[in-house]
Amino acid sequence: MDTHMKHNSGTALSGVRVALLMMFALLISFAGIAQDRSVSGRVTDATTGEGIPGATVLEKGTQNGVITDFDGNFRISPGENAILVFSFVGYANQEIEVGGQTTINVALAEDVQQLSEIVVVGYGTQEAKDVTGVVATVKTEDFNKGQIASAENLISGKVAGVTVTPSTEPGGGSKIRIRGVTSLNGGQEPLYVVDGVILDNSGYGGGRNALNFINPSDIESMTILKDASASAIYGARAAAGVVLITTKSGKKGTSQLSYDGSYAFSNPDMNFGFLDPATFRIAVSNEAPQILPILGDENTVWVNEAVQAVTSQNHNLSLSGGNDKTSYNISFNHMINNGVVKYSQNKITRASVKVSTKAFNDALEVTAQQRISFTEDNFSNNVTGTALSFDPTRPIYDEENTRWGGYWEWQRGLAPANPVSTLDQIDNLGETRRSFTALTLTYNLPQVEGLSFSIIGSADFRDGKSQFFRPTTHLAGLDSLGWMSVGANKAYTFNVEPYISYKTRFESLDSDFEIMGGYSYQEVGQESYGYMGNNLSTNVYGFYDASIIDPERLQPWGINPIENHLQALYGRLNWNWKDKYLLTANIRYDGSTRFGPENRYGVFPSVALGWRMLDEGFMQGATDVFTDLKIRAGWGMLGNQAIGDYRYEKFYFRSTNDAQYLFGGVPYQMIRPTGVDPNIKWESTTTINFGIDYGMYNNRLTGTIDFYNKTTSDLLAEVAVPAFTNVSDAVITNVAEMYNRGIELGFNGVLYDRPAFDWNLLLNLAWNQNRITKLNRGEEDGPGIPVGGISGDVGQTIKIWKVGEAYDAFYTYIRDINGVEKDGEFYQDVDGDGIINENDLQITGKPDPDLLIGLTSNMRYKDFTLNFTLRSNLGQEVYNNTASANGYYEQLFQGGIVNNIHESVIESGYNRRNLHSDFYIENANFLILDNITLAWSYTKVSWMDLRIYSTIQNLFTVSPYTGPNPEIGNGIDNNLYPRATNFIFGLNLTF
Amino acid sequence: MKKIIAILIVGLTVASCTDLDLSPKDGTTAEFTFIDVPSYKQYMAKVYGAYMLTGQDGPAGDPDLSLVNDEGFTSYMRAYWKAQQITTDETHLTWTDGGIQDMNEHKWDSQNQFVRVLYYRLALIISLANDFLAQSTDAALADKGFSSGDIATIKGFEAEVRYLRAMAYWHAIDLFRNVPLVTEITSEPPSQATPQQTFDFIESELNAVESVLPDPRANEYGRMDKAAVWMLRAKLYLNAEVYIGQDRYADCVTEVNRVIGAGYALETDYFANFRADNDQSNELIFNFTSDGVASQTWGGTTFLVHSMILDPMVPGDYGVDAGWNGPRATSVFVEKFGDITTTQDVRSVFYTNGRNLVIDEPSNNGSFGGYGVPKFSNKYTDGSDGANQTFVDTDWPVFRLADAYLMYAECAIRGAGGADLGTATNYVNMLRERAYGDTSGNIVQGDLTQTFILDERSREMYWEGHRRMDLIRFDQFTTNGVWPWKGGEADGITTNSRYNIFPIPATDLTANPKLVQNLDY
Repeated sequence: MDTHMKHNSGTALSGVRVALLMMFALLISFAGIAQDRSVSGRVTDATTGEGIPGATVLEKGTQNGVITDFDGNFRISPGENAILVFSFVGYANQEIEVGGQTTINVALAEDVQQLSEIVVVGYGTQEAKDVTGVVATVKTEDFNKGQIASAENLISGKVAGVTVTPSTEPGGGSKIRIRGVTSLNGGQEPLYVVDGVILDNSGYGGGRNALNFINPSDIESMTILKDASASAIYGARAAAGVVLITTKSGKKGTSQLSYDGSYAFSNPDMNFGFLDPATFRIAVSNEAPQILPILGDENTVWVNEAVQAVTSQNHNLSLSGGNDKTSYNISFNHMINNGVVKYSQNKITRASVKVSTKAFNDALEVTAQQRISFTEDNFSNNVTGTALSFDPTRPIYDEENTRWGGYWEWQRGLAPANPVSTLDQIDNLGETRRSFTALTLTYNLPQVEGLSFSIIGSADFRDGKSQFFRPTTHLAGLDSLGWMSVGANKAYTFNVEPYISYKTRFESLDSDFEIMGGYSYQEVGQESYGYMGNNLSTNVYGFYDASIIDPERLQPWGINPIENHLQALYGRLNWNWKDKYLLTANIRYDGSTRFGPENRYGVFPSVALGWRMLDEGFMQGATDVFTDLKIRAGWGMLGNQAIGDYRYEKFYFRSTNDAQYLFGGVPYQMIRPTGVDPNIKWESTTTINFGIDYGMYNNRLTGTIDFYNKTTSDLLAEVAVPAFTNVSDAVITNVAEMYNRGIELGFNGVLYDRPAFDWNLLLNLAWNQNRITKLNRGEEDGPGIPVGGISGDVGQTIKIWKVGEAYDAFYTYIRDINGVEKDGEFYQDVDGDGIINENDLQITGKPDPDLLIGLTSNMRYKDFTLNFTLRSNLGQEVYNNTASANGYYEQLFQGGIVNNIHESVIESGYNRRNLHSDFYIENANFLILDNITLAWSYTKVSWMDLRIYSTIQNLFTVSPYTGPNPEIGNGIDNNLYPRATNFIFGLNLTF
Repeated sequence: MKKIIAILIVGLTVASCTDLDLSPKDGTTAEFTFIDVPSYKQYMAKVYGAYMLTGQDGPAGDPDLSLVNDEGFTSYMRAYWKAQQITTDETHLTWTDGGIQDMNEHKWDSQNQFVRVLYYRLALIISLANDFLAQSTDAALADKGFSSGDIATIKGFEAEVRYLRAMAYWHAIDLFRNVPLVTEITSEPPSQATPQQTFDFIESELNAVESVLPDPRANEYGRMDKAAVWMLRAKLYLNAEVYIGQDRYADCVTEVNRVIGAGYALETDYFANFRADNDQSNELIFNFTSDGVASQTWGGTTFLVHSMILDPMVPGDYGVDAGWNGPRATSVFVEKFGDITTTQDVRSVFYTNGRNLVIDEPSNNGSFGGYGVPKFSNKYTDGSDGANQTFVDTDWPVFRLADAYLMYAECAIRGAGGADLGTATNYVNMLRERAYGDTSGNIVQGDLTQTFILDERSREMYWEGHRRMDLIRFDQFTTNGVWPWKGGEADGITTNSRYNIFPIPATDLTANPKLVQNLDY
């Protein structure tokens, strides 16, 4: 196993190391407090009268504390005017003023509040004990720490069965998959719901990540609805799972001003595996001596010119508070995330106001929130791939070469451009402005207890802008005329969701009922327009000055003002019988403009049962161990409407100005119809889930076990239509089927709970198996659908969708020394015809893991806390496209151009490109220390709390994978944005 | 309070009555699209353009076909050129894109992506034509209230579209032989027609449109006329023995005679037919048009000009900014010109400087094996460059007069009624006099043999996308005839006769269970 401990590649980092060590040493040097007076007593259980061993007795506001002995006895020496806090897991805390007492006996009552924790579900809340669906909540205290630009990264590694593949770009969006992939061509991202408002991020442009508009510091909790019985209330958009985001509100009776600032050093991982200039020259003399005379005299490590260590910063200011009627939370955030590729940057400025108040004798509750964000992205071209393969014997600059801006270039039409020139000369910028307004009204009818009307309304505006400028001095074909484009896109979403809920109890039936029903309407619109063109009159850019483009080459454009509307009726019934038997039934009736009149509406039902088994008489013997035991079973259907617009009707579109056809020397735009299946309909996912929730030893150990089977049918796939019948070779239609089956385990254990030291561990494991079970209309399995384009040659793919195989399985030749030769390698000749061709390709791996493991540890020693999250994916493969596209000797000199090559060639010995060799399918299991945070708190003064922390993100990765980063969303490692290790130092002040 | 409840209830009710019918704002249904003559002309432009271009956004971005990854590959002309050239003794392509080497070596199978492009492009052209025809029925035009003048114009477009569909069926019978014969948009998977049915359909369609189409050279440049009908019929009859086992050489002569008498003339400069201004050629009967600014594609003639530039040829000499190190001459093709260092034949255009005659590395682009064949160029006849150095202005010659002369000669050699060897000798000598600049290359009637005419077709028509069809007609494509790398061997071996036609792509066999694969695939 190769351990990718981060190595320091330059001098920039040594400073970081030293600073880090000093800070840790400084933090550890604080400690110690003394006391003299003595108080003793016993802590008992209020119900049974038995002593509670291991309970904490703590002098409030200090670190002075003790633990009760086996019988519940304690002795402590408090200071003047001390207040003692008695606490134990599963019991409500008690505070007692010591005064003159020397003996204090305390009876702790079980903490009802803790057991009846409130869980957010769609259109309401439920007590945790009554939840029957698969719902996992992560709260602020368990969020990943560090400088995090976007919400989804708060929960990576925290929830069983939720894969968050982080983006390596600054502020980039992560890929989230809940219980595997559920769609081939439709949307695969979960539905996000913010404080009850369903987000639609379509039409978002100009930025890297649509979720960036929410300040992660404003988030109170994130709840994942994993199975259909929990998420069916969101019907046609919930097939990929639902993420409910609850934002922070002010707390009653407090007011708090808080500042959090951090500074981050990012050090790129430079383990790319290309030859250094000296080794390169040796390789050339051995393998291509004929080009020795044309090599240059320089020794340039191009990638060091393109990828570098950078610093970033974050400032967050928040004010929150409230009284009996009104509470508020206001925040302001400014974040600069610099990327390790030169010039790349993400800058975010966000502000939010959330106010809640009550009126009409508290019958009306109103919450209003306004969030605005402004992001500026510099998408500097990720030239890493070019930098790696660019001839290392050439200089960066060539002052004589004024045609190409003074950069050294291969002066050939298809030659790669000097990567430094690309970085320096091309500008690729984006900007987004987003405004999100939501209003929630709930009216609790005073005349009828339990009856309430609610309405959620929201308006979400997304304005984006993209700007691209390439001067004429950048090599892009020998007659480069420069290029400029400016584009704007505007999108909006309006939601209105009125609903009614009624909660009541029928004593005669020993039953509690809650019914909820409502209507939902969503309108999404988007449009884009701009201009572009070449033959620039100046290389001094003026993005707003279209006149620098040759008027004959100026192309204004505007595409698809697209709208889609959705409306739905939904309802839910909760029945709790004898507080032991639980039933939840949901139904949603969804209609979407994305489908033809025949299939416009779909019904998505679900039902789930829960049995609080521990409350049965026969379980009484188990109550000394178990504090909670519930069995759940659920079934439900979900839809996916993320298929694009107007896919059901044949429309005619005109071609662009450069795709016209000439008659008599005059160009005519061409009209083309769209090939459609008029009967296109929802993808539908059916989930069966069986689970157990348990709590043991006063809930010191809690956990869940879930088994699921998720079948998706009517999957949209672009399939070949019988040729000669339609105006397209393939149409998107509902043909495919796929399942995901899995087991999920979650544990949460309190290992220590002492005044000076506490430690809890959260562990989650998820095993998932995905198979495509149907792909074609016909009876036969067919050859499958090739997917996963790779670089190294035109039109090549490496993955396949094939019946009986996992989604996106790798499809390659298998090396076999006794096989048949192709391009210098020997492969298994599957069909025995003596030649290696596409009939000999076989499944050799898959990019999605079998097993996901997440381990979070939260440790506190006195004023110090140490948190870390380890994450591991097992049973996944990566196709090393960087190696395959560059790891062969002929690449040293091709098309008159000298190129650097990938070091894998030393092992493979390939002269020719062998893109489809299983040599490049690598085991990509990994264990990563995602996040480790050490913090010190100072709470000794009443007017201020201080917290100093240091976080390291991506400290190390252990993986057999030979490339720099085994965690690749689609399994194809090719010119990825380089990953960095981030060292973050922060300060948090609360007044 | 009551107000609030009222608002909530009203809100609920009002909101619930929403209509979910929406249409895109930039494209629209047929009803609102085909409202005037220009809209029909634009739809006709698509059917023409479908032979050259790859999609709705130039040069790439909104492809017509989705079953092949690289949009540039999906240009019909590019795929057709490969099918007719790199499978033969004239051309070898060193690229390694999946399936290219199988095309060189006669090893393609039903999953070959280039075969797939050919098949689905033809099917698409036919379907687009069928959809066009559904919009131009008499009833449809009457409904829209067009004037009789407009109706006549649209009916003229309709005849051209029917011609283009017939042409696609000609290619289909030539390449795949057994294809479905479909004349409307349908959801019903079709069965294959017999070659005879397809042949008869092409013939009857051509007969039907002949009277509607303008006289030779009377239509707008780039559009069909009667000469195109005659030429296509001549091609159909010349190959009838291959397609349906019937001797129709006499019919071929009739059609060729019409073409020869239609007023076309050989260009003095052979290469004037292959330059950026070849729209001015008097020899070309029908061309698909190309334009470096308004009609951009990575296929079409852009592919042809760039790809045939090999190291160390200078792209600027051919009016473009890059060479793609692609197709090159096989040694047996070069040898058809005898000693090329001394020959007077201008058609022997080989680029030999720094290159070797023999292709020793069949799949290495950068290798110097094989001479360059710079027949096509993006330069004007006056030496200036085309408008754009990336996308070329050169039109694609489909039919030219020289071909008609050679077809006549071939029919004469085959003993067709209505043709005589004396006239044939004259026709051939007209071509050779142009090539040699004088009569030194002329032949006598006794030289006219089948072997001679097959070789002369190669010397005159090389790299114009005729070779595979010619070799098959003389039974020299598979079981007879060898050339370097045929069958995967350096010197070449004969191959199975199944390769005389291409297989039905596996994707369509899966999508349409009624289809039967071609023999032995």
